Amino acid sequence: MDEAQSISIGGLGGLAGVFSIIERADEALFLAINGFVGTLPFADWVAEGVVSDYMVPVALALALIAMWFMERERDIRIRHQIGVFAALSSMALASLMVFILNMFYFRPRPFEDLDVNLLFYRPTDSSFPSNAVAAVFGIAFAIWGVQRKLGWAAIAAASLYGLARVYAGVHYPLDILGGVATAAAAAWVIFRLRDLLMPLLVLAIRLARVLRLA
Amino acid sequence: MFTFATDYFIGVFVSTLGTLQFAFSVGGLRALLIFQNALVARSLGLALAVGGFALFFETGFRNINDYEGGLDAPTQALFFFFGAASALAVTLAATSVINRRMVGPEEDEEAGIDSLRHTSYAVSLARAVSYWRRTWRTWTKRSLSP
Repeated sequence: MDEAQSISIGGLGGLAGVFSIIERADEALFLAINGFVGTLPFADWVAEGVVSDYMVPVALALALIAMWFMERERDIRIRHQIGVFAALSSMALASLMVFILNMFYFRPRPFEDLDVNLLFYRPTDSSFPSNAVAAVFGIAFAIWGVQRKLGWAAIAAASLYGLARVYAGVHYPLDILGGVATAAAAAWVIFRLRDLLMPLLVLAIRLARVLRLA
Repeated sequence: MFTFATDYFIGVFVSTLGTLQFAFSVGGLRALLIFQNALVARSLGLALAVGGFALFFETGFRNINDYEGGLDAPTQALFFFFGAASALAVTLAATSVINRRMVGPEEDEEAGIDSLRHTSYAVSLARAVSYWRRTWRTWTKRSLSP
């Protein structure tokens, strides 16, 4: 074995070691958060609601509906309406990115490897990155891009959703961070492409205006 | 599955009704309000928005996997669209009847929802369609030009 090969193998070993440390820290943090289940019945009840597939995602979708109509100033309203399209595109792109990532990497759910207090059903897809969190943060980041106040509220709701998923035993903390990073990348790409898609969006809004809906 | 989807549809429908009333009140779209008083409209809006969630979550256990009776993501999106679109359609129809005396000045199609500050949806839509029928060639040319 020559020197270059041994350095390369040594480097890979080092990288594996770093991954192993991160994974163990991730598991320890997961167990610490999930360990609270059963100690505070009210927190369990809240988490069971927040972690649902139907609470935070639906609330964010309703926020998009409100954002479409709520602004009195026409120019700002058009910006918000373009933001609604951006949010939906960002959510779709984030989900697509998770789908592609999961073709190369599959991480088992915490309840498959550890002794977990589970407050949710047993999903069968990859734990990393969290698809649900990527989708809701995709919406939240896009809202933040056009309307700061509502955007911060959306990010807060999405963060609570992410925390609830760790608390309920369906994700490791790193899965949530992976979902957030994926969503941030998706929202960034969508905002970069916005100028390219603008003529189409403006046409859609003009059509809606004929129907008195924009 | 059907009951779960129906419950979800009803929950989305009720919550969207409330969200719309709240948003229309904040946006000053008076012709789309069931009650003209801002406090009443916003309180009703919030109550319905929260009520939709309560209705859905209090009528059954909802943390169910899609292959055990829950909804997968595309079905959830589809039923959300149906629920929200139905709520919007019902709001537009109901407020067109309730606010039928609201007939503001004639405006072109560019007025969009701003015309709904003083003109009921049915009247405003009829005007927009009539205007559009007269000017659709120019409109299309202008809309498609870069």
